[in-house]
Amino acid sequence: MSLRFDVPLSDAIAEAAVLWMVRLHSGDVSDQERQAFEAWLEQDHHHALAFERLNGGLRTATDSPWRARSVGPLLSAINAPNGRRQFMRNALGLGALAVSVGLLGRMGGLPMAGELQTGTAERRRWQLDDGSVLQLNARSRVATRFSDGQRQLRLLQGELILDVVANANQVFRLETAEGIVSGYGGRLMLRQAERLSELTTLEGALSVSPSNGPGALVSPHKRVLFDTGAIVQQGAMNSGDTAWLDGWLEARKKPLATVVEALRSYRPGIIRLEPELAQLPVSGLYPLDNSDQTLEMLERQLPIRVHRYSPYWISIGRA
Amino acid sequence: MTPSEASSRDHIGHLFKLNYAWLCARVRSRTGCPHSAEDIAAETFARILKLPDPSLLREPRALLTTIAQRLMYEGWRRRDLERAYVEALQHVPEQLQPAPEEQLMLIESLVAIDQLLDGLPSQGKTVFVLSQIEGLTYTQISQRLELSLGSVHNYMAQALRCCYQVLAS
Repeated sequence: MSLRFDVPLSDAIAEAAVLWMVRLHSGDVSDQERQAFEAWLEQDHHHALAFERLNGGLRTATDSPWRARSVGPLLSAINAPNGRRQFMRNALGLGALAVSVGLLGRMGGLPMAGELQTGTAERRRWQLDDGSVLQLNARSRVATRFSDGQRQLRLLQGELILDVVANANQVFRLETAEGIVSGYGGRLMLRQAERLSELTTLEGALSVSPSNGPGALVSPHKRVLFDTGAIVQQGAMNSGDTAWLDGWLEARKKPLATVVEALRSYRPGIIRLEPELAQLPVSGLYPLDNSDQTLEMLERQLPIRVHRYSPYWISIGRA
Repeated sequence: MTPSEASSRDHIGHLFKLNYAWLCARVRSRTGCPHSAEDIAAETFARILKLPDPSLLREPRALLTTIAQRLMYEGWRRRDLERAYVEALQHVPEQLQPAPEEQLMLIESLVAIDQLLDGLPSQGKTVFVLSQIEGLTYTQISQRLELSLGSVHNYMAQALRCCYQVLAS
């Protein structure tokens, strides 16, 4: 018997559960999609059953000890050709198993040339060609360019902390979707938010140039938000904002929405937050690497209730 | 024990007496090793015991053969996986190598994941692992594997259908 998986399942509810699951794990799910999924789940208890069954199957992967390790050896092994069965199938006239191992050369956690990135719940540190040290928070991505006497970096997604090696003859430029941050040395934190860049000058002064607006010099220990047109907010830095380097989320009267946003990079699947709770102020120190514990702490501390439909589907509502 | 359970036990006992030696011989002719043949035959009967109603078996020898073949295949596959894993581990720096007790857990999980994804094309397995174990987004996977986003979606759908079917069987 040979099963085909490139055609829809004959059970329409199972197929719908599969397609929802595919969407939910994409890493970018819109609010409308989340709501549509919730509606589908509540529409019929068979829907919830099919989804839960699929979730059960995924536990083989999500509870795997491989989650804490580099998946290179795992991929090599499961993609290893299956000599005996291939022989048996050929002997039975069923055709050879299509085994392609062409992808393996690129595996083992190596990003594309010039690009550095982290996955969910992963933080990493790199030394760049000029000696500067880059640290990426979870689900972040940068492209680097160190050629023709330039040192440049583009933040494509997420959040970074950069220790720039001082060099008065060579500017270090960091691009975001909204503009350019530049300086000759120092330490900074940069975050790409939705249509907004957030810069914190941890050491030394830096200049900020929104793509279509006037630039400005930012003195040390400041936090600046800018969009493509202008600097939209400026104030003293929050010293706790760098706590992610050590695996902590430090909040001092932060809106719950901001805290949940930070947690999303540390959890596969989705966390839905009732919009009316977005502005609830949160203060405390939470472990990023144990998001379940963080959610429990928030639940004890705030008038909220965390509904766990599955490890991948969490909804935060009013208690 | 209820009467029906008791009669089911008797039936299995009868089945075992009639077929055990036959099954051992048959497996031995394939594996060439009498000890593993006895192990496989014993495990085959253990699986039969777990069936909802073994007394309804019409052609026990056909089913015994099927189960024994699957066990042989799983044994071979496990050895292939262990060998591939050990080879891949040689490329990992020594200080990053897992401790022996952790290696056992990793191999157990490796075998379970391999069974879950059995029958998928290589890319499907890779996409699934990068998403579900490495925790990458589809955008990151498409960049890493140089696939279109649409292909990543399709491979994930294939992998999840495969998981669903494995659970159904």
